[in-house]
Amino acid sequence: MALLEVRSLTKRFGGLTAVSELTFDVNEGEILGIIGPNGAGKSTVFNLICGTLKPTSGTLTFRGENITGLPPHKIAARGIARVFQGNVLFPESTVITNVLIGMHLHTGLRTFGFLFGGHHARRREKALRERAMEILELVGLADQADEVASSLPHGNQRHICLAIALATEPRLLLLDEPVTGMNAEEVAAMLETLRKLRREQGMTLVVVEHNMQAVMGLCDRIVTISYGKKICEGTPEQTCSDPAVIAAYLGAEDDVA
Amino acid sequence: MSRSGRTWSKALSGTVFLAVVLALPWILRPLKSSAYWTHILILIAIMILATSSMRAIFRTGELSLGTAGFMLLGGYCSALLSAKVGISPWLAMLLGAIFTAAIAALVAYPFFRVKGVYFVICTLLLGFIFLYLAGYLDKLTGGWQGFQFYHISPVLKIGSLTIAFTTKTNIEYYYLAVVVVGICLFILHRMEHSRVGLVWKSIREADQLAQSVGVNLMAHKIFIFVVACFFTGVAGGLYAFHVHALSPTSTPANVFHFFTSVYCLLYMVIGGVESFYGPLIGATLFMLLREWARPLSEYWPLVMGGILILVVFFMPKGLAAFREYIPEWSSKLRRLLRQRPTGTTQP
Repeated sequence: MALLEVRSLTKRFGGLTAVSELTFDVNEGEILGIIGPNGAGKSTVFNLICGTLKPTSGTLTFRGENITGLPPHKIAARGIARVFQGNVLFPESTVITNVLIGMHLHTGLRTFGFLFGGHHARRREKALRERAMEILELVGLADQADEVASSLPHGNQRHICLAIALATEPRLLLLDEPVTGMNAEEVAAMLETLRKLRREQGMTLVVVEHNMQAVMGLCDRIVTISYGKKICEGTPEQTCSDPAVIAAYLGAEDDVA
Repeated sequence: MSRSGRTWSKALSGTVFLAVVLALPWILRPLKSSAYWTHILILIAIMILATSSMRAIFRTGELSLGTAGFMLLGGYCSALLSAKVGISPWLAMLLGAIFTAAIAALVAYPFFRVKGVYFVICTLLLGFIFLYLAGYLDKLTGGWQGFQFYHISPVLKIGSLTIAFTTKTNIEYYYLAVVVVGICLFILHRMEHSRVGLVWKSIREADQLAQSVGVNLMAHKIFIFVVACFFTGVAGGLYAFHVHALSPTSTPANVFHFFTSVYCLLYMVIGGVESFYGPLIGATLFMLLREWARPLSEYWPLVMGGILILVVFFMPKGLAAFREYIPEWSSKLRRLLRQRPTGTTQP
């Protein structure tokens, strides 16, 4: 059984069908890429999985449970985390506070401690802080823990976004354009971190990305979407040589760029 | 400074602050109009609580201008319960605040379906609705003429200390207000500096992201709204038992009128939104300033508006962050002075 089963997922905005009868599986421990031209509905798929949008029809099954139409915070509690497109983080907070907020689901505080603090809560927060430092070490930001998030360069901010998502201890991590706008060095660092997550923690990743080199090198399988419909599903090699993908996306890469 | 040094200086300044607050009526005693000044101090305490409540909601990024309306609810409810039903003012004040919180809980869900300026408008209009209801339900509230009660209340005795709800002396009531407001502020302070405060911050900075890490936005917004309205209701109750005369008229002088919400907003911004002590500084300073500026009479709004604009421009973090601005200004001033003699007039 796949970790996440997407079945005939459809989303209509008035007359516009953004996602149409989309069906695919995300298997435990794999890195799945979703590619397609701008406006193909990739981000909409993420919004549907995360519960930000409710599907018009179709079902989402995560670890054997139906999660269709659940609100975002409940989806997060089930173990699906998300890195948003662009640098969506807590800009005025320090890097470590960003991660601490990400641990919302795992504070282990009782109601009183959660609301009013106290000795027990303070001890608990100290333990959370240590855990947050571990996550920051993983993404390579441990020495910038006390900097204000918005003051860091783009690549590092992207890593903070990843750290926030990791703090929720997800089973499935959705990444919306994780390396877009990065220089070659930052791209390599991010890809290495993502591979490490899969290798060392067995995490399952779904990646939406326009950087074809990164996608081809990183992903085990790729789903190609155009106009809300799946036009291809297969290994990077199969996808590259698929005539439909070349016609809809890869061949037109020069125009898009 | 070391951590222990900071803790000590914090404790010291806290003690001095508390001592001044407690000694104020005695300091004012020699004044001819000491009763009047005590009255002003009580109003300041009440407005600090109302402003702090507004700021608590604002921690999640939403601005509620319903402060005056919820004060009216708390004030009328506790006054009516005490005067018409005969409940002890202590209990009446608590019940008034609970009633306010209950009404807030009823409207919170539909209100938080909208964000930003739409939420502001909802809360603003709710305040007006309460005002007009208080005017039109004249069988219950005394209508537009207002509602007065000269209810001699039972006193509370703790050992040798006697606290009475009287209209004769303000000093006892001042201490009562300080204690009640102090307790409320203590609770708000603890909340802001614990996990739930961090959650509010996360909602304000990036609500979608907060939701994606498992924060139930709606539940948390409703919760702080209800808690803050409870404290606003307490402020209204304190006001009711202080002045013993409530009115729903829409003159700016009426504390239950919309202007109070605007004043709270000003105190909050001028004091400093980021700091917990912002409302204390803002409300105290501006209400005292207004008293000293009595001779200015009708020009006061003009002066106040001018000061406000200056503060917003030059100290966007408010008066509470004053220390941060001193080095900034001094370096600017030095640069200006250095430029003058050389005669370079580069923009």
